Amino acid sequence: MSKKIIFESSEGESFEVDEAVALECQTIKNMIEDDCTDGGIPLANVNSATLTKVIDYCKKHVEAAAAAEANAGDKDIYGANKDIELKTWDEEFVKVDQPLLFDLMLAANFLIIPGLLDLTCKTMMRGKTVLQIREIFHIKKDYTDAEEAEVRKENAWAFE
Amino acid sequence: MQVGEEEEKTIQIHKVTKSLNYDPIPLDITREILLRLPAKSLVRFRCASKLWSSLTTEPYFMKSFTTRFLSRPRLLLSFKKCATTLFISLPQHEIPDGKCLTHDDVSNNQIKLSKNCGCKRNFEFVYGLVSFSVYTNYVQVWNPSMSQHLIIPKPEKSRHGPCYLGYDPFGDTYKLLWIEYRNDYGPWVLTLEDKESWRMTKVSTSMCGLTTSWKCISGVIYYEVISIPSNNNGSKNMERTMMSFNVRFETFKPIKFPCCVDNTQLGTHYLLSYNGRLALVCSLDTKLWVLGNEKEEK
Repeated sequence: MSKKIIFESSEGESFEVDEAVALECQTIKNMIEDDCTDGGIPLANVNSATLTKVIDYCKKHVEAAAAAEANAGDKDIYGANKDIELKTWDEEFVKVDQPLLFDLMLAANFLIIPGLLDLTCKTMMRGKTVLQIREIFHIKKDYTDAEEAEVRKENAWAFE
Repeated sequence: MQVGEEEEKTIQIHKVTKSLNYDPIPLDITREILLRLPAKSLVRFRCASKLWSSLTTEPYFMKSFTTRFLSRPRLLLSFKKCATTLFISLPQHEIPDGKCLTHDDVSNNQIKLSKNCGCKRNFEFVYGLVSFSVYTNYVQVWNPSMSQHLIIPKPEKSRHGPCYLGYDPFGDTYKLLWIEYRNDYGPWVLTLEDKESWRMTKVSTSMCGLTTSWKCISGVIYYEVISIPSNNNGSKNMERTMMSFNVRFETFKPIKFPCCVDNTQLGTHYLLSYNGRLALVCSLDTKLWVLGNEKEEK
């Protein structure tokens, strides 16, 4: 029976996970090493919906890593996993609405889950135009039209 | 009445703080997001706002971006069609198995060199930059991560000569070293980032550099040279040796070949980077020599 770690979401809901799953989060790993996880870990800035997703992600990746170790012969020359199934799973995983994607990204940043941070950041920006980016990030255009045209001209290759 | 006003005020304040809480994405997160973008998108989003533009052009950001870029293996391909040579730098891991390259893959990562650039082998990848040293009047330096392309004219009054690119990891600077075929000028050094002009270094070497093989390892450029004997006995007396150039301190030091290497013939050995040291492969007896302890490995 492996050790269990208890997370507490911002709503006060408790989530029990295996230690191996919790170790996917660098922040929690440090806490476990420092032995200060007794009585649960309160995550005041992660809500239940996000936490459920985060735990799903960690669980899947722990399982995938274990499976990959079992058949290590499938690795490519760089030692990286050519796990197409996991990639597809990741792609499905981030098919969520913008606010949840954003919460996932914040949680990944706070808990330090590099894989999830990478995945959410990339999904957030994929195929976006400058206008869409301004909308998502609530950026007020502080260029004048002439200034913007100048910047566009300077970096013309990126708009080709 | 007063109570009502107060209430309205609190509601307003609440609204403001709520929108403030939600709206601005913390700058450190924005930075993390931008770091993960492909170069083209990164540059495109520079026109989103002045803040984003300064955020992504700031030296520390660029350093992290380059480091991230270099941590992924890339493939450098070169094609030659008629007079044009095409170089393509591709992210190796992002190409799916068994799929053809798309037009975007190629056009986002390529550089075209015009004619006179018969340089199939005369390029080197030095910490994120590729330099094309060709027998023309200029040196080309290419940064595939940012699709930047620099053309630097040769030193004034100088004739043709090979040019080497070096990187000094301590000072984080790139320098070009131009070796003259004749001794009256040069060697010349140019620091890339400062947009400075060529400086002549004080040390003069009585040797011609070769472009066929050179390496830059840990802040030192190694290149092969031919020393021309003064007695003019013809080409048989030409000797090939090695020179090293410390990029930071701009000092030269000769290095002797291992004794077994036939230093009068071309194409009998190759330079390699081996475990962070310079290595020499002799193709005649298939031996690998590593610089430093001069230990024979195989």
